[in-house]
Amino acid sequence: MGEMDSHPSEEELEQYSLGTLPEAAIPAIEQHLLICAACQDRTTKIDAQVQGMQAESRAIRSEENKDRKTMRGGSGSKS
Amino acid sequence: MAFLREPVELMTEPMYAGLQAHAAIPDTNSNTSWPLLIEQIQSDEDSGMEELYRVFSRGVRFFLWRHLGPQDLEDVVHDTFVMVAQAIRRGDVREPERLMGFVWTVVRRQLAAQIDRSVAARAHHANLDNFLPADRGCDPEWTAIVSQQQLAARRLLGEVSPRDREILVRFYLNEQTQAEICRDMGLTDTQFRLLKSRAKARLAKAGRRQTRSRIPS
Repeated sequence: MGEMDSHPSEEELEQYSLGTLPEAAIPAIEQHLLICAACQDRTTKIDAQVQGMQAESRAIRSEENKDRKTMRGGSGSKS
Repeated sequence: MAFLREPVELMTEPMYAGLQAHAAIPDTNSNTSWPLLIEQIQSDEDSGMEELYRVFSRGVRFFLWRHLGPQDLEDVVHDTFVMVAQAIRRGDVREPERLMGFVWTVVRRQLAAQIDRSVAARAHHANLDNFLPADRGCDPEWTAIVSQQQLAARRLLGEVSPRDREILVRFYLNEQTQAEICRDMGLTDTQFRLLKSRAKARLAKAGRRQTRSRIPS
């Protein structure tokens, strides 16, 4: 469980926010976050961006799935 | 595009300041001596508890709020500090220079316990329509910020090429790892990073543009 000497990068914080950061890297980042106000604020902003992108990405996928179903229905492939 | 005409307010600094008010303690990155702090707490000096709170209060709140939302936040923060102080007085922190790791472990345990309670409560209330389990989504301010970020994401994803949109959707939905996306879409790591950084810059720009064009009520 090492402490970090420097601030985590944008990429590391984004991975942390997405939940894709390697497990071994989590203790150092979280212990840094425990005492670094600037990185807490950076993480909050990244969390909001990530959640916004995820919500819109889900909406896009859902729309694509609907379109696919409609096309299948419209092509007369009823069984 | 209809959404461009909507009066939206993106995540403005004042809104973040509102969220950060959960942690009204100034920047805590300090050169505190952990052994000295432990000594002060063990000898019941008020300054020890004050320093413990000053150094860790913002971070403890940050983690608890991030995972549990605002519900019962103050109580859980208080309980966490009580647990840490009791453990220090009992002599459970055997390596004083690792106090930060110790506090982090207590916070993680607190989170796990709260989440277990929330899951149990959700199961118990499964038939009640109005029951909302605690998490950050219960914070109306946070929900508003994420909705505004979604509008910025819609604008961004509507402006990029279908191929770039597909790459970003795969990445943010965690459908594939970065390596898999690069392989399937014929991208190098550098191209992927460039696309991501351009996307983030445009997201920030969209945010600023929408904030400027907001109609004051």
